Amino acid sequence: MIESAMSFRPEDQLRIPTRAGVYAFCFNPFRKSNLGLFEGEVHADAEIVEAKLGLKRKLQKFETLKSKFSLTGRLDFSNPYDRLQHTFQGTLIGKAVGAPSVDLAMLSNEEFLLYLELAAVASPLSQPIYCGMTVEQDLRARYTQHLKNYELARQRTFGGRLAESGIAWPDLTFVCSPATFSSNSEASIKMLERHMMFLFNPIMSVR
Amino acid sequence: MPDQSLLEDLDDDREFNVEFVGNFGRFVSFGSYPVDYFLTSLSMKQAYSYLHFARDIQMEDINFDLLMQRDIDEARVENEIMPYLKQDSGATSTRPLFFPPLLAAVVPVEGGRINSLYGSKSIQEVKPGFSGVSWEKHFQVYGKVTDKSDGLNLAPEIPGAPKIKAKQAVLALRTADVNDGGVMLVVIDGQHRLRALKRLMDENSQNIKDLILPVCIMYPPNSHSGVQDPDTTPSIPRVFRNLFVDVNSTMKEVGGHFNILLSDKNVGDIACRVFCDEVLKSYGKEGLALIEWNTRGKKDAYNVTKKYTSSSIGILKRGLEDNFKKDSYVYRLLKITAGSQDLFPEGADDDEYYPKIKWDKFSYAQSNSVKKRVNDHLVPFLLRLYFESVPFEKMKKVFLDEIKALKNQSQKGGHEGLNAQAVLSTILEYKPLENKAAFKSRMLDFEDAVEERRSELGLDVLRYALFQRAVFQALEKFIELGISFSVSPEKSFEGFLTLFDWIFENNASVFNFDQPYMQYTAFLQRSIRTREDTKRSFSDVILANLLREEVRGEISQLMCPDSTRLELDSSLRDEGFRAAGDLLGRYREERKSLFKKNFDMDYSLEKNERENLKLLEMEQKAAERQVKDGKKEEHTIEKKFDQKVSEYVEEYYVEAKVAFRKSLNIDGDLLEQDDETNDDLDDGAEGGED
Repeated sequence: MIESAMSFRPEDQLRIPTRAGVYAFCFNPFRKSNLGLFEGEVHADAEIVEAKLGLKRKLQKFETLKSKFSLTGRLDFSNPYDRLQHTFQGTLIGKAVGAPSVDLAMLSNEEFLLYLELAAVASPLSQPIYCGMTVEQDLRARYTQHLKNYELARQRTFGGRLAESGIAWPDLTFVCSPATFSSNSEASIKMLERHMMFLFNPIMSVR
Repeated sequence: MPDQSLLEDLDDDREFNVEFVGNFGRFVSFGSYPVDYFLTSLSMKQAYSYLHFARDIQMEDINFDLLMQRDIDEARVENEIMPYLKQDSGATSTRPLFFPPLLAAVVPVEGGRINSLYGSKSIQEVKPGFSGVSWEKHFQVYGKVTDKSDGLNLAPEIPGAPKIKAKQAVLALRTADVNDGGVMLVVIDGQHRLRALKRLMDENSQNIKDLILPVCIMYPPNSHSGVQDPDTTPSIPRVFRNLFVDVNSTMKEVGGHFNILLSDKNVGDIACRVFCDEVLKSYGKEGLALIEWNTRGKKDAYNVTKKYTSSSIGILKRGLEDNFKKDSYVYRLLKITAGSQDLFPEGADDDEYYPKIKWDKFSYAQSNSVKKRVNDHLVPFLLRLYFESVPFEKMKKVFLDEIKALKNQSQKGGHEGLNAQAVLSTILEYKPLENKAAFKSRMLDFEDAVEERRSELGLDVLRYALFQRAVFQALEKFIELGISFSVSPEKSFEGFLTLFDWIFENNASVFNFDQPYMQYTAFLQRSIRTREDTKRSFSDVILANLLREEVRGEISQLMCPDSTRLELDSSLRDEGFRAAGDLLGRYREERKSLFKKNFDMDYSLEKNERENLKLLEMEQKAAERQVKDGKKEEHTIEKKFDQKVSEYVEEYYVEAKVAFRKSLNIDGDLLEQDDETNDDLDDGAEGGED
């Protein structure tokens, strides 16, 4: 019996189960090797500066993604002394709160590296940006399909939207819960996906 | 063949021995370094004597760009330019022919080598009413002095320099063929045309004796030894290298390797060019001669075609392209991150600086940075692989030893010395080997010597393009594992080279064609099987050596810190088992397939065995036809032929497996893998999952 979700980095693709189940993609911009900092190496100052800038840019892209909402509406103004109806209409462009990336420069090199170590462990806490489920297809095949859509920037797909956002595929973690029972439990899987959508509010899922 | 008419009157005291009459001019634009030129015409006899090819002179600091442009495409000369000049021969000629002017540079030469500057420049009155400028011991330009506004000042930087009538100037040369330390006219544009004309002259000079060639002779007037600071003055080689590459880089009709070298459209092509450049810088002409880079035939461009070379840039291109095109590899290998300011400057326009770089997609503005990253991060590995790894280093040594022998021989003089010099010029300077039996014989001796010693060292397998591509495929596994363990590509390279070197130091016979497991998977008898599966087999044999604990331990230690070393060791071992299993699975399938095709000609089987197999095959085919016709269900037929074949193949398989285990020196068993376990990923459904 699997008690917790399984998570996979892009390079673990071939280890993703070939079973049905529910899954999510989480944003993880903290992986040191994606920032040019490799295990067992002594990092030069210039490498750390580049890593900070890289992470800042990744976070900014995510911020832009989170800001992609707007409020469009119309307000009717009425005045008992004025027979003419006044109408106000327009669109308010969204702005996600906070810009944490600017704080990175405040960290010393040692602090930044410690920050990345902590972030690597903390990243499973991150909120999924996309949730889905598979019944006919297995989880690995579905993952591959999303990846291909990303590489080809296919319109109206999660992969296409991700490519457009500028978020890099290697910065995703694939989390899944493979079904341990037969695929006739389609109803359970579908119900769980709906509840995941409700609970996690993944910003790149289309509902 | 000096021009006797000009030499007859030559006075020993005269500084210059050849004169041309023509028009003088100057090319300078927006403060560019001035280049003067002289438009004239040369008879074929003069052209034959005085015009030379760039490859006729040696340069101390030749770079790969220049070397590439110097290469003459003999096939183009023979198949295109010579036929053009010969057309209509014999018939009444109505077809006009014309060549645009050849562009020739005035090059100071001493001892066959190009000098960096002309002799000191000075104003001279040549004869009454005629004045000019001389570059001491090299050349002189003069003309009739004039005060008119259309007169040209020969040396504007010298106060009081005379103006001459530009349209009636004389260029006088002290040619290097008569006076060592003089000048040569080296054609920098039109060398294929000149080559064709010279060959036609050799064949029958009568046919082109009336041809007068238009020639533009150029020289940088300010590159002379009398300048105040010679160190900051552009040298003659530098000026002409720039001009030579500029005028030739737009050439369109290229083929084979030149399609790769002249392209900067993808990382692989850039890597090939930068690699050649670095080989020349680090290992000189001898090093570059080990890499085939100027093959023009499409098919030959992707193989090792010369007996003395180690590799070809076509193989390099395919090796890189087949394995490292994925975005994740491009980013890792070239050390590109989101914070790479050179590629993604702050606030840059997305059209000018693409936000995402791919193997074959980067903007013009990013291409220099990509090239630099290729130079800094990818090419050092390629140099190590092809010049410092154990097997290639041995190949290099064999080659250099034989080159040394040629050089020693060439210094002794005599016929043998001449023969050796001709072979050296062909190998190191890319000059065509003259059609002389003695030269050809010396070349064959050289090639045989290299080949023989290479065989003795057990390096023959390296010469197969498929083997070298397999090396890249095996390397890809290391890079992939490295990414998985967050290890830098450099360490993955080191890990791979440790394995590669270890194999050739301790177990080189593992690739031998007479190993039972190499038959059918890579070889048939002594011949290599030219197909992609052969590449996979070589790659699997390389990686199967990871089952050897001693080398695996060394690799794990090198690649990973303590915390993850055991995990990496285990992954490397798994990869070794996977590779060995894949090879054995491939062996069984190939053996079975070829047994079925050839059993009736296999005389290691008794006659009655062959007849029995034939009978079973016919019965099975008949039953299968009935299935196709719908007369029988597939599960009702017995495939006795297939079963019998499997029985035979099982014996061969066991033999191959035993041999493979022995080669790998392992105690445990190997598990055969089916092709289906190769984890080829399903493309999945197309799009639209939302």
